[in-house]
This record gives sequence, C-alpha cells and structure tokens, in this order.
Amino acid sequence: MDEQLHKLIACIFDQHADNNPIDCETCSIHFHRLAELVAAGASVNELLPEVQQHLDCCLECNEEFQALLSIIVAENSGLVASE
Amino acid sequence: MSERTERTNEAWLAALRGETPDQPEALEDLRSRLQRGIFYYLSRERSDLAGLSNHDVTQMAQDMAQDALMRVIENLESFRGDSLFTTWAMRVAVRVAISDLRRARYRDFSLDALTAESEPAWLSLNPVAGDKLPLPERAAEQREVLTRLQESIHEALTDRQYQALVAVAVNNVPMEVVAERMGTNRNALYKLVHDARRKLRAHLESQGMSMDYMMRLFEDR
Repeated sequence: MDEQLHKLIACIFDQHADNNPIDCETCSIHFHRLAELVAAGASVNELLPEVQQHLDCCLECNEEFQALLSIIVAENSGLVASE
Repeated sequence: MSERTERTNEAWLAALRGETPDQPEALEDLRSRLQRGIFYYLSRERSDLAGLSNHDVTQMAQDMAQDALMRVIENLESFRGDSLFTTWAMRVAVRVAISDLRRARYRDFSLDALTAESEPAWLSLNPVAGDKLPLPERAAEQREVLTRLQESIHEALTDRQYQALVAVAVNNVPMEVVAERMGTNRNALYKLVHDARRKLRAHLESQGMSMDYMMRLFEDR
C-alpha cells in the first residue's frame, strides 16, 4: 500500500486521538515537572494519562518531551559536561 | 559552578530579575547550562546531525542557548515553581532548539506546492514497485473507494482543513512549520487537523467505509 494513503486512512480513523482531551500547549506545560518525575522512575501514564495519550498521537510533543527527558537524565547521571 | 545545587529557585529568579547583585553571573550560568544541555541533545540524541563537526554543533548549541536565554528571561513570570527552575528553563531551551531544527529542515517547504494537485499521486491507483497487481475486480473496487475518498475530501473539508491534513497527517510536516505557513499557531492547527479528521471519518462512515475495510482493500496494492 502507498505509505501516504496508509497514513491518511490511519489518521482519519484514529479513535485514539478522539479521546485525547488536551492540545499541544496544555500538554507541554507539564513537561518540566514530568521530566523530573519520569527521570526519577515515575510513569507519565500513571501521573497524567491525558498527557501520555497526547504524546502517543503527537509526534512533535513526543519529540520535545523525549528530548527534555534525555537531557535531565543525562544531567542527573553527570553525562552533561560541565565547563 | 554547579548552578543546580547552589541556587534555589528563588535565588535564580531574584538574580535573573536583577534583585540581587549576581545578575550577570546568573545569566552566564544559565546560558552555559542551557548550552551544555542543548549540546548534549544535538550531539548524542540527533542522528540526523551526526555528519556535523563538533565545532558546528557547538556553534549551533551556542546560538540556540542564547535565543533560549532570551526566551526564558521574557517568560520568567510564567514559571510556577513546580519543578527546578533549571528544568523549566531547559524545557524552554529544548523547544527553541527543536523549533530551529524543524525550520531549518523545512526552509524551502511550500505548502501550496504540496497541496496544489487536485488529484495527488497517493490518491490514485498506481501500484508501488514490488506490489502484486490486484485482480481486475479488486482494482475496480479500489478505484471506486479512492474516488469516494477524494469526493469525501472535497465535500467534507475546507481548503484549509485539506491543506493541514495533507501536510501534517500525510506528509509528516511539523505542525509549527505548517502553522507558520498558514498564518496560525500550532494549537489552532492541531484543532484544525483534528476537526478535519473527524469530519472526514464521519463522511466516510456514513457511506459504510471503515478503516479495516479500507486497509484490507489496499493491503496488496
């Protein structure tokens, strides 16, 4: 199947996105707090399931959250070089 | 200096607002911290930048950290104290860095060119190389469904909804890039795509078409 057609059909019928109650801005205002908690072992889904739902269907928010999380984890592990 | 352990949130805020004498030091500490975080992200987490030299990545991180610092200072009052200040500032920096990367990648992107075709190739029956050719009856059914899909798109969606859906959902163009081209913001675009998707689904379902049916029909296309 043509990949773009597949994406369109999957997107049109994505029930998951229907139940997602929050938008990108609402999602991202939680990132800093969540990143600290997730870096300490917590789960986004347990803390804020609506944010997890949004991350599951929004590539951009997910990219931004994972980026922040990677930096916080690296900082906590001493992997971010200090000057 | 270990800014994280040596300044409380209150101390960061007071210093950055200029309420204490160490404002210049605090600004430099924060800029340096943001730069280190961004550098880590660019150099360790972005495989698409692996071809860049260390010097180029350092320069990118410097520029992004400077922009991020300005953004943090402009938005200091929105920090609610629900995390370490430095984590909140890093969130701002990550957004700046990733936005810059997205804009650079899609610098020459044209929304009009992407959606100019009235019948885009992906909505026509062109077998993908390597695919089995469908039986004539199946090909006819595929053609009919594609025609109905095209009709649904034209009947159910506005031009803006169509543009947004094609760019974001079909071509994976970042929302902030599309939003910029459409003169809107990411949140409004998210809602536009969401509404477009729902309208299209309702239109297709009213004609008895489901995802399972359509996926199965085009599986071996």
